[in-house]
Amino acid sequence: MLELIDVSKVHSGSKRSVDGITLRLGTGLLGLLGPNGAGKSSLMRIAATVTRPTSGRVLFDGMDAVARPQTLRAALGYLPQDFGVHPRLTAREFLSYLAAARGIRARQARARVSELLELVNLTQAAARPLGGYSGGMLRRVGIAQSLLSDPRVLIVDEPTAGLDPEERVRFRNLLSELAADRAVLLSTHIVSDVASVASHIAVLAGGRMLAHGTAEELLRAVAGQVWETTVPPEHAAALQARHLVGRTARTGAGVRLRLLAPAPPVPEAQAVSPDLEDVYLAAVNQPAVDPAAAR
Amino acid sequence: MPGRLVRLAFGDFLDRARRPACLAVLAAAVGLGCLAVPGTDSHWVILRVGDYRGRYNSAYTGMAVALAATLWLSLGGFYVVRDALGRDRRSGVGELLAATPLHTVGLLVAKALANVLVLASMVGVLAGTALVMQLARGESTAVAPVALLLPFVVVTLPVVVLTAAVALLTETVPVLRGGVGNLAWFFVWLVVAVGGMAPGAPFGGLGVHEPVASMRDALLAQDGNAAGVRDFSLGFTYEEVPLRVFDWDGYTPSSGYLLSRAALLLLAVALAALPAIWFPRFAPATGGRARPGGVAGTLPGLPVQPAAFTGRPRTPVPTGRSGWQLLAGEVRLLLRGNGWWWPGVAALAVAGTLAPLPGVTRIVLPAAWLWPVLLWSRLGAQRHTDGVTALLDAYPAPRRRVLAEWLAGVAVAALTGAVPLVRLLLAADLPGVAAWCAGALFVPSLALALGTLSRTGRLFQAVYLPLWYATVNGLPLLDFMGSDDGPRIPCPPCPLLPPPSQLPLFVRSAVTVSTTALPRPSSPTRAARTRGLVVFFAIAFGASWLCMIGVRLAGLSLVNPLAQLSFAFLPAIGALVARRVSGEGFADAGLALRLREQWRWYLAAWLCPLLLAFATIGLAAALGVPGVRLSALDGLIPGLPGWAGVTVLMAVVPLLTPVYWGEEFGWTSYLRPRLYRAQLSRSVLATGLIWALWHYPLAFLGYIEFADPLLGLALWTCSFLVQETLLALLYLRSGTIWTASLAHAGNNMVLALLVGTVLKGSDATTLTWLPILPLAALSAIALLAARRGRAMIRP
Repeated sequence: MLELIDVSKVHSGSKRSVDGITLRLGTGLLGLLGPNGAGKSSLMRIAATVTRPTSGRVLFDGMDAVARPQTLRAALGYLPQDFGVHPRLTAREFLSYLAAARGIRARQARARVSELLELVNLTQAAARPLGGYSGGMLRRVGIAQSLLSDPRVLIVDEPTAGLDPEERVRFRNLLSELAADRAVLLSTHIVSDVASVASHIAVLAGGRMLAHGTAEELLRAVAGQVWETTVPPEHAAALQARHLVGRTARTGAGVRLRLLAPAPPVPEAQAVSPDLEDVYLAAVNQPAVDPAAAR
Repeated sequence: MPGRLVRLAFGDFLDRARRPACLAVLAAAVGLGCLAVPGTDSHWVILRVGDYRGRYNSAYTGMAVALAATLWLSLGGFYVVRDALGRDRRSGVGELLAATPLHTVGLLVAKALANVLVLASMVGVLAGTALVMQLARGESTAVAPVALLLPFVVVTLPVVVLTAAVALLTETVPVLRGGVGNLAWFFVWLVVAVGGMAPGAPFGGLGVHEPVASMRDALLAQDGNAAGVRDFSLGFTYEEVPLRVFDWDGYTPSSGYLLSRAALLLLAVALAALPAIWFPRFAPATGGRARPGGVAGTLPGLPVQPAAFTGRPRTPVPTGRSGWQLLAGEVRLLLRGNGWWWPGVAALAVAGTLAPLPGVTRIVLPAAWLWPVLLWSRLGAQRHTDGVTALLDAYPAPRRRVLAEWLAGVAVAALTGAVPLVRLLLAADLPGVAAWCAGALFVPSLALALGTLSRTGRLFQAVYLPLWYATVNGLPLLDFMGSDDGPRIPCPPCPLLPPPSQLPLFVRSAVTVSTTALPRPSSPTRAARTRGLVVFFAIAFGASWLCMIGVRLAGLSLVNPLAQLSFAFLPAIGALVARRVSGEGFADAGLALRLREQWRWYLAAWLCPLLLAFATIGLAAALGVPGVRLSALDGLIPGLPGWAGVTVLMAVVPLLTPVYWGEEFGWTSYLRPRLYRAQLSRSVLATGLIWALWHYPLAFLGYIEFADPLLGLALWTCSFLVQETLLALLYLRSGTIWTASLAHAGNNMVLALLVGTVLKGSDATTLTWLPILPLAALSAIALLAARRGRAMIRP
């Protein structure tokens, strides 16, 4: 459905925010993980036709979406990481305005806006100016606008930032349902956001794709490399200096460490099943491992 | 503490100085300075004492520019430095400052000081320009630095400091923070400008009185019968007969005068510190952009427990024509939150109904088209100030949105001007109706264009108010609303056609709308690029050639730098508009200075013209060209030895770089990369030819006179080709257009001037072909080096 082929983005001063990334989005949810500055947002903006890639191609249903972005934009829902709203408009008016910008007819727009406001739990606040909304409420308005046209491609960048835990669960459920029949690209640096909903995961760092595959494939790649052990506090620092430590917890018996290492870091260490957070840490801190060929 | 405030102010100043808008402001200052010293035979004057003007020596030139700067910077400078606190609020830096131990008074004084630094940089540029203009006018080339600079220090700076403080103060008062403050300042300034020239003005007013009194005394001493000595005017005026000249060598300010200027400075400090009483130190409740990452406000009375998830929305969403909804949305955006506006509209409607027709056109209609200024200033800017572009950039049909936005502005004009229109129709005043139509189209077009270009409403507010004021005061050339009730041109046969006098306004509206209604798609197609080139050529050539011809028909000399300013910036303007129209943006424009990392190329750009000048002179001597006299350099600047004159020229060249940016941003930055992409030689050749073609009319309009026009044009073309080779390579190697602009300034002000001086007896053809040889040699070397594959920096 949407393909990004060898896409790069070079800014002034030769800085590459995206470096030769190839992604193919079909039905389902692709989670994009990466630390801050990994290039996720730059990639999302290229996919959403907001910025042009310096090189590479973006194809939507086989058509060049860089040269002709209108077709993709008509089928796109996009939620950027940072955006503003018109503070004097109410949520209902703002969404109606954006619905008109999407070419949605008035009667359908009214019904759709009401439905979306209910979905994001803003019905009771819908008649109040956006200027008085909290950050989380504005984020929900952003989610609502991304769904106005029932898009075939949904691109959401850090959508759960500012949402409380229950709202985050609601949104994950929504994404999961939407991904059943459309392409969803979700970017986040919160591993738990993708762990339960993503069919495929890509890990980015430094503008490059370090790992790409299904959750099972990525977990298999680090199987046998995740260890847990409890050591006295005075030994913990040495272990942390020599190995990649994912989690640290102080217990009555000492400091419990979860580490990544090809072999047991200490004789007492026990191998444990890896999770996505281990995959993420392994990817961003080691050479790229791509169990499913990305190119 | 004072050192801390200075560091804080300097940091703020650095942030502002690094924005591209700062260069535009400094370029405007250079333009102002040039305007303030009209040509010796010009009918336009800035400063007049009776029927006289002073001889352009250092004292008079400095005073004239300083007085003009006082007047203009007190108006324009206010808008330049406004939004100091707003920027901190929006960026979030304000919250960081608020959390420091710095006292609120110190914070405000530092901000005011930063404003002063910005305006003082403009004053500094103006002082430099005054020196250049004195030398350029040539009436007196003896430079007296103290006499030149003193007016800027004692007359201009205190007013500028006060303006900076007032700009800050208005930002701390919520009702004056936005457009209301901008509007209010225009009318306050009118009062200050007029009242400030009176002898008894508080704190000496604009500081005009004492210097002008000194000028009167000097004039009377030279001509006791000088007519109209009591008359004095400061401002751009047209004199039927060029003014006579008197000598004025400056004056020594009295202690009372100096005390009054010092008092003005103290008043400014007090005004800057006064808001500490009520300024809340960037507390979030005072406002900021509503954004999902920040706390924009609180909303009581909402349920704590979210509802259960009910599944995704099911409403089908067929798309189709939603133009009316979009227009309604844009109108709502303009009008929402302005309950205060409607009573004014109603009052204007009543006044328009009851007033006699002349009053309607002279008073009610202008008032009706002043009332929506704050609404119109949102056009093109609101989506940026509200940060909605992050969403809208991914939406389809951007043209439709821009068109709807423009139509919303026209609707506002129609709404407020409806009653005057009806009165005009009932009176069968069809020319008036046509003028009304032109105004209703023009104002929203101007607002949308300026808002789109500047992404802020301030530029439209700053430009429209003087335009409106000039219209109300009967300047017919600027009468965009037909409020002048002078003789009307008879109505043409078809009442739907505008009278000829209004056609330029319609055309202007159409051009403005068409260029701004075509938005910037984030991925320009070949068609968009072609459109950009068409727009570029239309402006760079069409408008420039019209200006060249117009200047000549107006009786001005094209050798006059002031006359050249009328078209010197049009290639850059063409490039600016073309980039917006085509959506190509400015990523490859090379606007970054890169002074630190590319200083070698800056040095080369600065020195090469001098070296080429000496190479040309040496070549002329070697070839036996008659009339080579190095001693002629002693006359380059009278009173200065040759080496000093050359030094002055070299010092002036960087100051003139912004002027020559007006061409380079068009030809080298915009056009060349779009001709024969990735084929350097062809693109340079094509650009050089086009650049030469642009100059051709000047050969027939008196700028340069070739004995054999065909030969002269051919040689001139060769000169442009080799120059463009060097300028393009300079741009590509440094990644910034400013090196090419500096080199271009050097080519004109050093190479051409020095060769012309040393070879004074030679004709234009000789002076054209001689420099071609060293230029061509340098170009060949540079091209060879480029072809060896050394890395070019992409802007």
